[in-house]
Amino acid sequence: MLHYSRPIARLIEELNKLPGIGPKTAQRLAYHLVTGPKEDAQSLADAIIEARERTIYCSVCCTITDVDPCSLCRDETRDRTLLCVVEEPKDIIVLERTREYKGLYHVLHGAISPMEGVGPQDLKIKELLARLGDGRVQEVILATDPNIEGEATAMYLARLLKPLGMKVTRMAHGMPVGGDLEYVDEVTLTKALEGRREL
Amino acid sequence: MDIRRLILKDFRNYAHLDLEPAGGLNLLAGANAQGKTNLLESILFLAVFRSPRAAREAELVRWGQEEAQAAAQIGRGETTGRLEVRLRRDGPKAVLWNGAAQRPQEALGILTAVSFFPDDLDLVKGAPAGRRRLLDVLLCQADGLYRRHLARLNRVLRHRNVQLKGLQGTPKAAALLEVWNEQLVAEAVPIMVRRARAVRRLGQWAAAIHSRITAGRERLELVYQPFYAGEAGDPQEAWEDAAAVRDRFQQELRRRQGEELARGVSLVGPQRDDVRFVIDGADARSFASQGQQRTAVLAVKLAELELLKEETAEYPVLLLDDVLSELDATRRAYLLEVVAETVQTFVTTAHLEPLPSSLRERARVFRVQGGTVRPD
Repeated sequence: MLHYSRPIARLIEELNKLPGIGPKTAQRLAYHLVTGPKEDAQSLADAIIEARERTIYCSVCCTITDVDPCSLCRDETRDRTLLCVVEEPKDIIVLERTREYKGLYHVLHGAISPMEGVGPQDLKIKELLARLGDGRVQEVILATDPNIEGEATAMYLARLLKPLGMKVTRMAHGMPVGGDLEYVDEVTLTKALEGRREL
Repeated sequence: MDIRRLILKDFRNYAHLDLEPAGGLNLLAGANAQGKTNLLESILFLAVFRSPRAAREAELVRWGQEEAQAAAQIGRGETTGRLEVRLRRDGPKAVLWNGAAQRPQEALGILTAVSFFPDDLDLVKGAPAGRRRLLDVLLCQADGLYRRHLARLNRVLRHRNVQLKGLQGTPKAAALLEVWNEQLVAEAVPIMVRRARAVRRLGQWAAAIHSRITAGRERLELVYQPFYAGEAGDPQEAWEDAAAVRDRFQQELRRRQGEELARGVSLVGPQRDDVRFVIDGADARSFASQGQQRTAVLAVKLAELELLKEETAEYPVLLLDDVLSELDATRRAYLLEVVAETVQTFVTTAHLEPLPSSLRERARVFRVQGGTVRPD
């Protein structure tokens, strides 16, 4: 940081902390911000502060929201017997885009990952169990990511919820629709074969 | 499959190299420290995207340079394609196949190679890790499913080891460990079954080749040793049955759970497998002579060629680093006359003189000196 002036160095350092932003991108963004129109920089700064100050965790599903409970949890047309468990708030956006799922959500805010020091106690699992207490939810769909950490989290939750008499399901692994067989990796193909269905 | 052209730029001590090897035997002759081994290393790197000799990939970039490149024109019958690796001193490598970027994991198998470096002579008596590496390098080249399971297994093990350490003395230990046990079994069983099958086939080929080299005087066997196998060992067939392996694995998980928790490290799993070399019924690790070890390793290396041929329908390229001097005339003749007939072979040697002139005439000879290579 020897050649940067102090305010630039600080900005680069802050940007560099963001996920997916390396030192080179951080440097590019920093210079972009300080050489572009002042209003743009101000507007970005305001947006960050506003988003940070006006959002909270939904007291029901734990997603990030500006009203509590969030609009999804308030929506009386949603199927309250179905609960889909996801890792991050952005996963809700993705699932909502399908317009197929009509149930409720629960956001864990992460996945079990010992390497990163994340255990079950760091996830919104207590909140999940509290929600299931009233017996309205009939089925819990585990929609954590299909990687090692997501699988571990799904297994952990399944072991926790099944003894409570809950129907627990896991999102299927399979072929991407519209894809080419030859571009599908071997593990996905194997799982797709295992989960094949009779026509 | 063979290499029609090899191009290096700032790779190790090569500022620039452009080489057109023969489809059969290529002899790379030169004094020590001129770059013979670096050339073999570049080919191996193009095959497996790793170097057994470099602790850090930055070492592969020529001194004083920021970037290095290794590229090969790979021929398959009538068709050819260009495989390329770009290395940066300070960043990740890029793999390109016909100009399109590939994840290294996806690009494995485009060029396959079997290498025989002087360190491989420790294979028989060295640590089990060396014998596991042999299987992994072989199977990762042959089988995409295997390399995916292996990558996932390594990640599961890292998580599990951290978990085991963190759980020492906590009451919730069992519930959390169960999750990692389940994942461990899911990734490990396919790996173990695949290894068992590969060792059986590799052993059959190695035994045949070994018998030919020793003129039938000695019998070599390879025996897969899953981590739970005792010295006596169950019948090898059982290791190839996924259901049986899963049962034994789960048994071991239960049996050793206390010990694993106490020591805070995974004691069960294929990261503790081994392969036993048996010569005339006795464990070669404890008694084999230098000569017997050399012959056994040579037989296994040549068996690797056959196994890759069987798995991928093509012979890999064979890389022999300075091993000619380790072999007597009979073995050398077998290697160069029989093998180099069908397999594209790259051999480094300090001296061409001990090689019969008939052989030197059939081979393409290159002189390696100070980072330059010229046809003889």
